[in-house]
Amino acid sequence: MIDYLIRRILVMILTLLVVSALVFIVIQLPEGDYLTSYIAELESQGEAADPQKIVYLQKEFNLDQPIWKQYLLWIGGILQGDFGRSIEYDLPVIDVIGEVFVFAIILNASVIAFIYIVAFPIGVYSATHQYSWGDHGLTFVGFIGLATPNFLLALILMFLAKKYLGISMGGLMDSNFENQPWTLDKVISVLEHLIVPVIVIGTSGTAGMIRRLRANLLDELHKQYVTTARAKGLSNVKLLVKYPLRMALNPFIADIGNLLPQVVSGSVIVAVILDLPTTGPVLLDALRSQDTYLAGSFLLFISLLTVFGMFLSDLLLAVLDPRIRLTGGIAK
Amino acid sequence: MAGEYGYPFSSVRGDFIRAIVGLVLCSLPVMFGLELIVVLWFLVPLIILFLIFLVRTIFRYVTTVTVTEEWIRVNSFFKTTLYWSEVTDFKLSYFTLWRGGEKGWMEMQLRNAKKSIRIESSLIGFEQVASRALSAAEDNHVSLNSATASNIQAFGFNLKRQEVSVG
Repeated sequence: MIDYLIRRILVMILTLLVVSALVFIVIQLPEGDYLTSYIAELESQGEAADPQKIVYLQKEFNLDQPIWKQYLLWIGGILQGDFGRSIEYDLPVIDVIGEVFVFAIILNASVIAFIYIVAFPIGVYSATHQYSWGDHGLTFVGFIGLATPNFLLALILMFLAKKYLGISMGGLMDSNFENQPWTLDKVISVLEHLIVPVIVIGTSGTAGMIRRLRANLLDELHKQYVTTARAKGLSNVKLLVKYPLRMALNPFIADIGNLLPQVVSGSVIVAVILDLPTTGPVLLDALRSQDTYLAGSFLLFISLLTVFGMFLSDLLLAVLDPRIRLTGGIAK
Repeated sequence: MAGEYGYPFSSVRGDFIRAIVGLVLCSLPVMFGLELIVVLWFLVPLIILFLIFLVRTIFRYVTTVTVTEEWIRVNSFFKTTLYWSEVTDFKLSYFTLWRGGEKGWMEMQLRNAKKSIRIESSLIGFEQVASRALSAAEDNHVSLNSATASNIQAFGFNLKRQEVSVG
């Protein structure tokens, strides 16, 4: 097992290196760079860019270097904990990300907890009460959750809350707590403001998870060993928990890998709409302005979540059920 | 059935390369100085893990497995002998780094009340060793978990009895 863990970690490190190169190249693909956008913006305002400043910025941010050298300088810095400097904010990337990163973690962790806490009992209920009113009702709600885009749900909930409750749902805390040290009141305010974003971002993930768990559990419940166990007099709850549920959990665990990045990237638009101070809006701005180091660091972070999520789910599967799942042959 | 088996260099070469690549990748940032000390929290455990992996690979390379009618002995820098009649647990696990499930390796674990031994499928003669171990497990009425039973069948062994516990 430990050999598997270490081999898997190495694969993860190498994958991240390849992804980092791809991310850097993709950000550089559009014509021009941050400085050309900056010059064009100044010219559109009727101002001329200071040539000395342009040369200084080019040197400062290595924009005069070939792309491969820019990449090596960037990745070398990241490996030492220096994520580079945001050209737009003129601050170290780590400082720009700073607090928004903490909020993003709080929000996304809450969303993941919400998805699992809600999806698990509903999925089990739907499968064990197949074709009942409850199953039909929850399936219907699940389909609506899958079909409704997050941003639309956010807009609808914002509208309803404003119209019928008279409250504004924007932000992740009351405005009087912004830039204030953390207190109990601030934590409560954050928790209150978390409810809507968590529901909005978590709905589609929850619906998808319910569908998968229901389908997997139904497959297991129809197998012969379940019939045999029932015939031998095993109680329904014991039978469900000990055997089919454990088997049905495998795809559930495998989903962790997709869930982490999906939640982060899925929350970008919602964060813009709900005015949440998370990483989403900053990433969007960074991509629009070609702020290479800031956008690159964000995208690398999302890739890290993907790769780490896959690693986590592979590891859990290897621990829980290390069996051959054949699509290819067995090598020595 | 009786005989001595070992891991050829070709089967551990990949792991030596992995261990060294991992060590180099994780050590380089430390050697060139760190801007953010937090990175150390990730790098130091990784360096330790790759060192452990290197040591385990060296151990595996020098390991020989001796099988007789009475016992199995794994001999590297230490000797571990397990009598077939004392086997209380038998596990055959399959691991792969590929999403499709191919190009993986098997790992066999044998235990008695005090000791355990672990053998990878890259061992020359793994089939014979695993077959003898399975036979001992069956003789001792060791119950197999579902993953082990499934791997045994996929590997082409026949179970004498179908005494499999799900889980």
